Amino acid sequence: MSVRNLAILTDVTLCTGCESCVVACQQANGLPAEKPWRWVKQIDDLSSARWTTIRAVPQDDCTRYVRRQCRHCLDPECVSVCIVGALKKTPEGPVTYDRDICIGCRYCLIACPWEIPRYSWEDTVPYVQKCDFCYSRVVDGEVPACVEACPTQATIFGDRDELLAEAHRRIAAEPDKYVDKVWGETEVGGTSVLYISDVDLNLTDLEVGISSEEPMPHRTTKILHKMPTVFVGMAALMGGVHWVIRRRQELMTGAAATAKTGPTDGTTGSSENEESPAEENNA
Amino acid sequence: MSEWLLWARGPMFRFAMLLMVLGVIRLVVLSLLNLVAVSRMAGDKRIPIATALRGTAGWLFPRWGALTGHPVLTLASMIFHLAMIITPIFLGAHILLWQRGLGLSWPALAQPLADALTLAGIVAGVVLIVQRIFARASRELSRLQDYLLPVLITIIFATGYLAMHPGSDPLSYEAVMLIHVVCGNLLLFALPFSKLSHVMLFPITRLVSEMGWHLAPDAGQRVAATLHKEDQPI
Amino acid sequence: MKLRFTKTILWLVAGLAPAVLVMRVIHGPGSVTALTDIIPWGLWKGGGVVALVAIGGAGFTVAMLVYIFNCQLFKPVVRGAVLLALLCYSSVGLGLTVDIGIWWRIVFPVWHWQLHSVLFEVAWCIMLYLVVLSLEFSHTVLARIGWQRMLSAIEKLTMVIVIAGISLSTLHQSSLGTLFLATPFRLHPLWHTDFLPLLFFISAIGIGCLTISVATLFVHWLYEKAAPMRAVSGLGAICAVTMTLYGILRFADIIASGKAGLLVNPSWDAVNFWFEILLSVVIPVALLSQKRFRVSPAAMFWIGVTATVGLTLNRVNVSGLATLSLTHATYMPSWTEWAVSAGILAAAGLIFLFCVENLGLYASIGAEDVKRARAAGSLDPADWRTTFFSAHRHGEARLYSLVFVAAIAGSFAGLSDDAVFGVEPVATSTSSPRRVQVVKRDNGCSAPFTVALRDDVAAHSGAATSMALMVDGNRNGRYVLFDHEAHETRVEGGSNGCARCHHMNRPLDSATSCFECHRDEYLAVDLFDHQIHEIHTGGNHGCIRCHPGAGSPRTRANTPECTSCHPNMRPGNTRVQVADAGKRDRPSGYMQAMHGLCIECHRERKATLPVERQGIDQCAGCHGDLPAISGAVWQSWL
Repeated sequence: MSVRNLAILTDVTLCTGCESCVVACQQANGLPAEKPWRWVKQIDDLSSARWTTIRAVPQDDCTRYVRRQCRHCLDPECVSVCIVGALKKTPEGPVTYDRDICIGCRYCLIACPWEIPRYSWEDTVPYVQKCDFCYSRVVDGEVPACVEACPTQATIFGDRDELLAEAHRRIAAEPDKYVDKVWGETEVGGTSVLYISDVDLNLTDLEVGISSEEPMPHRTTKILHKMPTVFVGMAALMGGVHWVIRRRQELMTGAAATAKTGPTDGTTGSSENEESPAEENNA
Repeated sequence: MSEWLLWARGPMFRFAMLLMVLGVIRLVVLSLLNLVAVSRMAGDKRIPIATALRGTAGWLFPRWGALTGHPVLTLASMIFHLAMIITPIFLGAHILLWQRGLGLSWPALAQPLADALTLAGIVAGVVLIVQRIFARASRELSRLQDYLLPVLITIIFATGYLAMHPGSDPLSYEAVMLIHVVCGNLLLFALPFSKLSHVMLFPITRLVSEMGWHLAPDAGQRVAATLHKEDQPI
Repeated sequence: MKLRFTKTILWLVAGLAPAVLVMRVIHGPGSVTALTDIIPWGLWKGGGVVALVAIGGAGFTVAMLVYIFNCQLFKPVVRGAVLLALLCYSSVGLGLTVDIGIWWRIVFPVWHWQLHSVLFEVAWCIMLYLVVLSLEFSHTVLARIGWQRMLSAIEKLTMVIVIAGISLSTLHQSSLGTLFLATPFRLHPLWHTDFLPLLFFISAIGIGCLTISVATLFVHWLYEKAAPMRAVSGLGAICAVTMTLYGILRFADIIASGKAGLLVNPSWDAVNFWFEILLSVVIPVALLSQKRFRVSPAAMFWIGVTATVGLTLNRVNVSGLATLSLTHATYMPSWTEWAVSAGILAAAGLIFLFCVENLGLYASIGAEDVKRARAAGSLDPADWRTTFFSAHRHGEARLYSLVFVAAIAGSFAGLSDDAVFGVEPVATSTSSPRRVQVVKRDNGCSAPFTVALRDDVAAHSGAATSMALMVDGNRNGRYVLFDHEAHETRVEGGSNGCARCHHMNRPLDSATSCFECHRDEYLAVDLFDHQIHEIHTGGNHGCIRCHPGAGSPRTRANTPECTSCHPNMRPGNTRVQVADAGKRDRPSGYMQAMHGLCIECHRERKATLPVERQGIDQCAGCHGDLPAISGAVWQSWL
């Protein structure tokens, strides 16, 4: 398949909440039976046995059904934080997970702004569990299982740019119906899973809505890039300070031989004064 | 009642079992440490392992000669020990529990044989308790645990038999089971802290009695002197 | 006596961990922790890694003072500080190994490089710093065993090692803060700031000064010697300066970024924040700035403990506690998590004391002092307790090993069933369906659907209503409205029709409700009541009726089928044919039973129905999933 930057567009107005996508996902990925584990608050939440789910959002007129799945961010935070590179952003778009090198630190679980990754806590050897865009299917030119299963074409699959154009076309065709926004177009630098809807969507459980367009990894990489400088700078500073102080003490002991003054008082004072340059360097 | 039984079979059993295993390991390690310390002080530093092992193997089996002195007691003691070793390990119902808990299993003893051994164990236990109470020499030597342990073990045998034969059980099944399990746990619990520790320390006892000869002849006097108890009867 | 008491407590606490660790390896981290998908980092990460690294900041702080600033004043505590750091970082390594899901992959970062991951950088820094600390500490060991050639080689490298240690510490102490820059939507704004790395670094220096002071004072109290108070009060002064700087930076950042309102906003987080600041900044700075407190060992000890608790709270807040409000989650570490953390720390404490006694960690505590302190705890040789604890030479070993073994057994006994047998799903008991008034509505969005009416609404609605059963076994607010009367008329067989669905009846019952056997929403639970059967068969003499063959193990496998005594239990004309029904006493969960019963029948009926009712086999056909509507909405529909 030559299409690059694959994406999924979900039109909330078309979803009937039949959960065919959920069942198809579970079958395609061979997920275990769902059970009410201690950490599963609602049986139809995302869990290690449910990589995508439908949430009923009651409205005044009638209920909306919003599908939840990994957003496959364009610049994903989970990939950025993963200590061993078990999570990868593939060139085709999907964020995939390599369970053979994951160490189970669960940093991706707390770093994901969408609160998507789940963990199979019930297993002796647990792994991170999340939608992988049916990567093995899409590289073979097939469509993801959830898209294939959708009876109303509420969720469609294709090139991200084409899907964005399609989303804007639908909004432009029925401006009274749709909210003029494509969810996933710009948040945290854009995601590969897009939504359009006729009501406002809150796609996370977190109290703070995600409005920032800055890709998440920027928050840490801008600090990380300074680290080599800090390392070398700190070493140089320490070496320099050591050299200066030893030189001063040598001179002082030389003077003390004649003037008979205690050298230790002087060093105590200097140690307190020297604290601040070390810290400013880190800033 | 069933909550108590669950508790006795769950947390209490886990505590008693693990304490027994670790406690016995602790005892063996400490005894060996002491032996090393003793051998350092002794003139002859050889550790007679072969002799000790031979002694252990020898004393493990009853000797015909011993029967001549107190044949009833010797026989009772022998039966008591045999019943205590064979029944708990090879009883079918116990093996079933191991299989459920850890997936381990081994061939079970035929049920009539297990019943017979249990009954023989009860009789032997009663004989031993009676003897300890009524024979003057035994009474003088006995400590509290010497009375309590045979009683405990006899109770375990009796309740175990009743649990397997509910038809002849005057109490409710669960009550008998609770007594059986709790007493069994107490026995496991007591094992590393009472004379029952000879289960594991028997070979070490042989080693000690071999090494004891290597100590200085008046070592006992020096111990008494250290304790300031020279004038007291030993 | 206090030395012996302290060591006994430490052995006891250390004994709490091993059984938990074994079960964690056998059944996985989910079995012994209270962690969830929303709070996946708990006590082991927040307390055992993030806070402990800060506590271990003593190592580089004191090494910097002594070797870089050549401050001989702190020489008496430098070995202790290095060991303290070494023990903290080893505990961090062990704690992290226990915490990560796949513990044997703890070494993977060594060859799976991810240069853009902060955690990768932290892992490497900690690994390298552990090597540095080992080299620094090898000085003490080599001096003790007297390997001169090696010792002089290490001494030549001292400055390189120390500078490497300081640089590595700068990196990972600050990077631990960088870790949490990735969680802006979880962490409360009072803690989340771009200055986290700097704040973490500065506070690690401040707290490092105090943790080594606390350790030094405590050890000297144990061995009844005067502590090197000049060094301790010097460290107190440095801490006061550093923590003042930390406090100013913290507040300046909060005010500058316009979050000052949150400080006075009465919320749980604000209280938590002020409590943390009180313990970690206000109390230490206020007291340490006065000389009379700095020179008092007792005051320094308690100030140090307070500040350490406060700064630990800070790290715990950033790594979890202050994320609870924004994630709407709850998390309280299970006792097994506490046991592992405390056990590892207690073991570290014992190693510290061992080094004090055998490696001459403090010049002020000599071999004679150790001997005296240990002798003070021994029992009268003639005492009966001697038999247990002090017989012959290994009195201490007897006491400590007994306590240790008992603690292991005790913690094993106290484990939850999840920890012992593996994690099991949580039970959700079911309830009987309720009878409610319903009305059929068509609002234009979807197929006509049925709505349940609240009692107060139905009274004045005036619309045509009927009665239905509200099937919501787990009472979670979602339900299926089931028109029992309508279904009764649909099934063939008249009065015998009940059995078409009610496929199993309790004795003397004709149509037992579903929830009475399908007792759990999702799980198959045991149905057989042994006690009732015991009573009805006449107690102990009745056993033989179900368990033939006296003496053989009595299991379910060798009992007869239920129907051999209860022939009417299963009606013949039922459409529910359960496989393996003979001794089946673990009926499926409520949800599965309902689906199994309804869906199959609905699929069959679909063929006979008109086109507008073809949705009968779809989920939404039964699951309207609307909450009971309010009077206002109902009025607007009329």
